[in-house]
Amino acid sequence: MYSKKVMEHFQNPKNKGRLEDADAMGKVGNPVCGDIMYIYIKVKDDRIADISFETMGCAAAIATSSMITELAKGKTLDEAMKITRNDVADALDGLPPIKMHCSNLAADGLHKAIENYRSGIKEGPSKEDVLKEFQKIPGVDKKIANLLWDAGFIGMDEVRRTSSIELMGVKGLNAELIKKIKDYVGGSHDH
Amino acid sequence: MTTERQVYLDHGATTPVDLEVVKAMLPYFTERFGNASSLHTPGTIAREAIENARGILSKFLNSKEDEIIFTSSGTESDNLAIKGAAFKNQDKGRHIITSSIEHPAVLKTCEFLEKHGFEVTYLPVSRDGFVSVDDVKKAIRKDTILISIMYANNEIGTIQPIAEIGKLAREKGIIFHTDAVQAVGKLKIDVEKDNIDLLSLSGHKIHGPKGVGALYKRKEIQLEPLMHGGGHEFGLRSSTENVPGIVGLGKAIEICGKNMNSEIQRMTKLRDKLIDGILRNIPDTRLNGSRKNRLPNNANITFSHIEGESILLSLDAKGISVSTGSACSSKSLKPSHVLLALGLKPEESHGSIRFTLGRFTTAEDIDYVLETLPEIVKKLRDLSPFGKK
Repeated sequence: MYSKKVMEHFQNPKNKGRLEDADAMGKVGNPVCGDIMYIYIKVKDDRIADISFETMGCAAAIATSSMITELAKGKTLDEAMKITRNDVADALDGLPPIKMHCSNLAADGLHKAIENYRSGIKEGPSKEDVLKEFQKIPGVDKKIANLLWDAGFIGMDEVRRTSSIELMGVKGLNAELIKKIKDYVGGSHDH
Repeated sequence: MTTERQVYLDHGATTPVDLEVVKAMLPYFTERFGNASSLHTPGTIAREAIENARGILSKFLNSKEDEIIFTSSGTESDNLAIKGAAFKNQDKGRHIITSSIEHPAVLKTCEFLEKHGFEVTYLPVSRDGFVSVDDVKKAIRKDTILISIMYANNEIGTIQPIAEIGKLAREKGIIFHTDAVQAVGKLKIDVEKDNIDLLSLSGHKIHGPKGVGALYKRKEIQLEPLMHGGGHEFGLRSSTENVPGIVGLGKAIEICGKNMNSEIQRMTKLRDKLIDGILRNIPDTRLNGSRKNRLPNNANITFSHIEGESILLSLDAKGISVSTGSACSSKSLKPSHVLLALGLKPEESHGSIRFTLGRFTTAEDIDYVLETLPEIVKKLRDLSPFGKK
């Protein structure tokens, strides 16, 4: 199922663990699929001087996290912003089609870390901010917003990336509400 | 990736064929190749072999001989039972009751029937995975024609109150089907005592061959066939019989019947050793499904803060074969419908692993898993952003 390269990076991931003196981090994930990534960066002279990751997820999620750290290290921020999901997949000699959507999040995580760095944010938005953001969705009250947060949705992007069918897996959401949510946030209705 | 030691703990997916079974089957590929419908001697030999296997199955389930229909699989048996009963009895009503933790062979068949004008009630289960007899009772309507509840669950191994549901269905004159694919050989099944009308089983889950299954059908129950043709298997399953497969299934059942009590005890002991060993030695782990009324060969464990596929592949690299609670590693990315029905959060269901033991599993195999697993879990937890102290 996986290329040799994916298995190598899965079994011996590079640049793993929290970067203690990171300048910024990016959090991305698809909790319903089971993948959550934190990418940490340290920036010096507009270049990525150091980078690391923490990931909960399948082999593809771990391998793409490891690979993005290799691809981004030493690059300028502008260069790093240009690394795409496909670049990561190609560098790993490809990913199974079904994993391209779900687990290939590392590039997004890196971009988010850089955006956060440029906006002077060290981490992602706080829980309160995210809950407020969720409550802008019609039909979502504080209780539902909390359900989404508890299910691991750490921002609107994560909701956008999750299909209607996957959202069915979140306790407390019904079909009607999911349709409202997807109409509001856009993104994939289905795989 | 192979290591010296191979420990196969995915018997819920499939099992190695017992060599005795292979031996029994082999002549039916070559010298005893006849078509069981033929009147000549080779045909008669094939017919006798089929009827002999039918006898073994009926004795094993405590049914009559002409109540066993051979099929190609557990899935086919489920389809024949559910669609067959629904289409044949639709004049009496169009309501079906099943549970939310059935195998897809039942769930998808029910969904298909919903598109054809039937109504289906999907009963919830308790936090430890049981259907309540009271819920079944409450769901029964005037137009209910079929209840289908699995004997034991394939993911979490919980054994349902089949005899009680059977009794209830019998009292109300409703057909009762049970998918016993995972239960056969691991539990004593008696279709009379359990009040079962239809029961599905499969060969390859019990150290028999793939491509063969059977449906027990109480004599009085009427079914619409799925396969039309030469009228084989009492007109319910046309197709030239898979004689080697049927012989293999018969042999596999015979072996199950011979050693069942001691096998159940042996497997239960190994299962408990595995469950206790994991829960005791690895923090943040939980058993899914009940401890009691559980298949003797099933352990399903949630490992918090990590994902199942990465556990599966790490174990595979050490020669240990298991499956994920979620189907994330295979075709679907959706969390397991069974674990969600228990009330687990999606991320908890993603971190679940099913271990299923078999006839050839040894105490040394379990020791090896218990030695190997903690390091794998630790390595993956070190990578994870969650669960850090």
